[in-house]
Amino acid sequence: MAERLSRSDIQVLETESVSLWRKSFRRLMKNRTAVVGAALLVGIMLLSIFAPVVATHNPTEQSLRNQLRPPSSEHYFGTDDLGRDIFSRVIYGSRISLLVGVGVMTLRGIIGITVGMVAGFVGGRTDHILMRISDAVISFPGILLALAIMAIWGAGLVNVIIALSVVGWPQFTRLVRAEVLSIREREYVEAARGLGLSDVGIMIRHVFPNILPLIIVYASLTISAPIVSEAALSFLGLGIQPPDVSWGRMLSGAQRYMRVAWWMATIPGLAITLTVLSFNLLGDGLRDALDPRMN
Amino acid sequence: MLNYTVKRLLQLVPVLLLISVLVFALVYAIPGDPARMLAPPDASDEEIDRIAERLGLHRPLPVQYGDWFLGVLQGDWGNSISWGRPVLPDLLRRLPATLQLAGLSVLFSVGVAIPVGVLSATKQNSLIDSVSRVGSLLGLSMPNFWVGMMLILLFALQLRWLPASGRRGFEYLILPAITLGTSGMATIMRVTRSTMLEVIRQDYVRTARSKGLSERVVIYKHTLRNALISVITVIGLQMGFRLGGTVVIERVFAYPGLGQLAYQGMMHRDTPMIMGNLMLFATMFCLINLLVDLIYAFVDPRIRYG
Amino acid sequence: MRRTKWIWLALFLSLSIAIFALGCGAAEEPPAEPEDPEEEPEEEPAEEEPEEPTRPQIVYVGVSSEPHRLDPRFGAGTVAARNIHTLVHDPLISWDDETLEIEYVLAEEINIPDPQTYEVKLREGVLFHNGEELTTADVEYTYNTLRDPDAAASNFSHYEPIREIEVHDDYNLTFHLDAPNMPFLYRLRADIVSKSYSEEHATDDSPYGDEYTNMNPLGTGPFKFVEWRTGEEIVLEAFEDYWQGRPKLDQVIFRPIPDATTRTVELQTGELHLNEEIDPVQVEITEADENVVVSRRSQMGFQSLGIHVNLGEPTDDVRVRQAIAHMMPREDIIDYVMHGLGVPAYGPIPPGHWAHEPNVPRYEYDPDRARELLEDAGYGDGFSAELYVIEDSVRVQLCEIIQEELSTVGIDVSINVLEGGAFWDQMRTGESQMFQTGWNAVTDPDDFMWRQFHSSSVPPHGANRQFYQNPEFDAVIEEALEETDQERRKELYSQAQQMVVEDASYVFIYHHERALGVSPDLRDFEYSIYFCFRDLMNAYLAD
Repeated sequence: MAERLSRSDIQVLETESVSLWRKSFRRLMKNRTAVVGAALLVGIMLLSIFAPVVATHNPTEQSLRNQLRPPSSEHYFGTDDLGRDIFSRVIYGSRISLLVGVGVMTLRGIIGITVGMVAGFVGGRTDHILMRISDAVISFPGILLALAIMAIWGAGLVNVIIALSVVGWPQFTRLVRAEVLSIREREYVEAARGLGLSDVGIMIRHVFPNILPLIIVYASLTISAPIVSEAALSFLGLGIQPPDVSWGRMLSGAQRYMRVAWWMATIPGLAITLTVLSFNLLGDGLRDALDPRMN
Repeated sequence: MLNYTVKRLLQLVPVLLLISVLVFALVYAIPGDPARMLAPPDASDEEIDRIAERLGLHRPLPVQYGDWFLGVLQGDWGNSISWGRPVLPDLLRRLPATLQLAGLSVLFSVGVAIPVGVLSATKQNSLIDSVSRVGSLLGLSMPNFWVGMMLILLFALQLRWLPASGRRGFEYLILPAITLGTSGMATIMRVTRSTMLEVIRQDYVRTARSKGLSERVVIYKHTLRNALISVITVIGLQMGFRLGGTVVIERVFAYPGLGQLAYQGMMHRDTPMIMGNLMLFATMFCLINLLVDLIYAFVDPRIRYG
Repeated sequence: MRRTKWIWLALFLSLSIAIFALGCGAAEEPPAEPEDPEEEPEEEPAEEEPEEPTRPQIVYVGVSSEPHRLDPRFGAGTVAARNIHTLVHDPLISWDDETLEIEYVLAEEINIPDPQTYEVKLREGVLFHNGEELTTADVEYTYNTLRDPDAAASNFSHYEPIREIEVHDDYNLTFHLDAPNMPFLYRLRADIVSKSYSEEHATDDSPYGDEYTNMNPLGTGPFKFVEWRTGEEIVLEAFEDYWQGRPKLDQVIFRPIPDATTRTVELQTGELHLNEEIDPVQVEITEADENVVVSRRSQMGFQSLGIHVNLGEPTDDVRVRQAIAHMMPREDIIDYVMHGLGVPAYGPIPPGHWAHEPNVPRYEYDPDRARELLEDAGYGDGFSAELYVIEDSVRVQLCEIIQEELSTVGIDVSINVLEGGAFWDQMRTGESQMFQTGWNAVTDPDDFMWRQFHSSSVPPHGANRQFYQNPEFDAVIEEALEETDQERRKELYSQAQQMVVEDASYVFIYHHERALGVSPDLRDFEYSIYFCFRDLMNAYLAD
């Protein structure tokens, strides 16, 4: 599906390659939901950057006697099982959750794009082997693979990012390879080759810019998945280590308290939902903007 | 078509082989001795070593792998380390449970997403459109264990309409399937909507409309059919994600499927169990995608496979 | 052309839906009914109980995890398996939870002419579920498996002291021990399996028949094993010819439900009659529900923080360890983490146990004293330390509190949450500066002492992961192990407890309790820490 749609994207891109970015940006700004998504995201990022200013309490400071207090003027979102201020924790938690999202997408992108470009460009046996490997990775439940990796290296932020990156990259590979295959035989690539440019040079100079819009759209639409996956890993017992705060960790910690302190699970749940929603709204808008054929 | 099917099936063999080697290596890299898991917490290393010896865990890795592989060829998938009994019957017994859960969740996603997607597309940029788009994204954004527990608290505890856990009849499938289906809904809806929009603008639809056919007939006869093709593709692509989702969902609902078995196997370093489980997951995923491709080739005349 | 394709596709889809629906139909079969209609016991009310209630006597038990091995010789290491073993099998002896007094079960009498000799006389006329009579051959076979190092049975170390098992006739046998061993009487709680049944299923790969018996256990217990649908339920059924009389319940069905909230909801909605364990967090709201009775049982154990004494500075200094002990907010932990399910622990043996010694040094929560001790030891500025904990929400919570408390006296603790296998691997290295562990269901005081504190028990030989090595202490518990005079033993263990607490290689946190959820309809049932649901043999469901 993606293959066919995107092939025509590229045709469009080639004809209008210069003015495209400007046009796209203009189109994006006209898209109301995308602007809302972008605005929300900017807001969330500002909150996470200025967390120390915004937070009302130290996010790790405990006060057992104040445990499980409902929202109040002192604690806007109430307190958790150890009496920590949930408002401050959500604010600080955004840092790690966003880091997980961005970090994982970046790593997935690097692995997936490299493999996809090599496979598509070199072709032959290399292509075959690389594609079989990505088939293998794609065909078992990612969460189990990530769990196994977490079990090997232990819980912690860096390991979460690596574990989640190791499982999601083949989607990028498939996307990129299909594009490369369709671009490879085009005249300007032939021309570049005739001019003596190396394969790597061609890939970086000519192929990569062409597939970039597609990657941006795909990444923005899926960047939220790792944020949700981190919560699932925490739920299954292997995620972020204390005293680090992430929304996933807060949520999985709140699981036992769902019946006695609704705010504990609801607040980080809403935070995840809002962030994921903003990414998706923006992603939708980007797609509409970069892919004029679709509305 | 037949040639293509056979070719695709043959292509599965190296993929599955590769998976088995990867998984085997991975499981062995996980710290923790499976024998340790069987012994009481105050057991000495000598006792643990004896258990390991009895289970044949002291043999070199390639030997253990070879042993496993030869066994699989003969239909013997090895004995589970923690359960001390053959793996295959357990896997097969649980396979239908997970297939039912995944299948019903697909039906649920599709059943909600397609009508909403169609409605969204026909009433593009209306309030309904925005609400349904945001609504489906909400489903995608909520962690599924959280959704599952909310559903249990509401439908099992408060309203007492549906059971909270187990698998003793159709009603036991409803909450887990909704939970699992919620997250897949957004993508299906999105694809339905955009394909519909794409098709609605195409000439033949305009022609059909101008011929005086009613709006509804036009939509359902022409556009929906096209949308379905994309939807089937998306469902195939989502399958890996869905099967993975069962690991979490089955735990929340104490649902006796493969996902729970996989998780338990992982937690007990039960190599034969993990191997068998992941091989089964991988095979299912590959077959489902093959099926999707076949259906795809079948319904879309533009595609021909050599 | 196109049309036919669509017909095919429609056919395919409807076929798959049909298969799907059929599959669901199959799952709908009521699983609770006994398989053999002839054994349907509700049809004919039992004669000896004229007031026998009329409702179906089927009890559903929600458990947190599923057992792996149903043969008690190989599965006794876990509570999940003991839940089943203790109903399907009988041991030679059991004991009262409160008094620890021995009660005879399959043994009619046990004589101990000297501390190395245990003469057992078996009850006559006890039948296995296959109709064969229990004899000493079965007992001998069971214990021989347990003490065979190659069998790799659970709790091998408990049976290591047996030198020989001497069978006199069908009903009399004698255990000869290498040396006097006071806890041994409690070791006679092993569940007895049938020799002929096990041997019948023995193969080259599985000389003890356990590959089969782990899935199909057979014993002399009040309930016989019917079916195990993994992940779903384990079905047990009343044994008509049970030697203590047929249980009033017809069936006991265990359902593994890992999630604590789901399990409690199932109890509140009446889907379960028993919930093995209620999350401390949910005890209060569950107690408020009139459809549930919450019963609390002491676990006869403790939760503790282990501190390595032999891993160099700074934890090799006893003052540092004592300072840490003074930073333990026991009351707060019980109130806010355990929600009342426990009592503060100052030593290993819980109050209520005959060997409990109340007069041990008490490290009450006292930051000033802790700072003083650290100052004395030369760590007034604090230090940083590693703490290992197994992934478990209560334990991690506990460690987060410890981390916070210790930070106030300058000790910077980093918590390493490890998943099961990795945690035990870390413990095996014997190089963990601090770690959180706990012990359960202990009977003889030696259980609290030898494997955790004796010099010989350091890894790889035992569970002395803090490398506590004190020759004086060793001598005391070595003497206590063989001492037959109860008063003298108590005295020795008092000394031992004082030493262990003084040296603070363990900081004791609390003696925990378990909250069990029970349906008010279930009558005459008492949970036992070691024997779990065995009392279901006396229970019944009221109308």
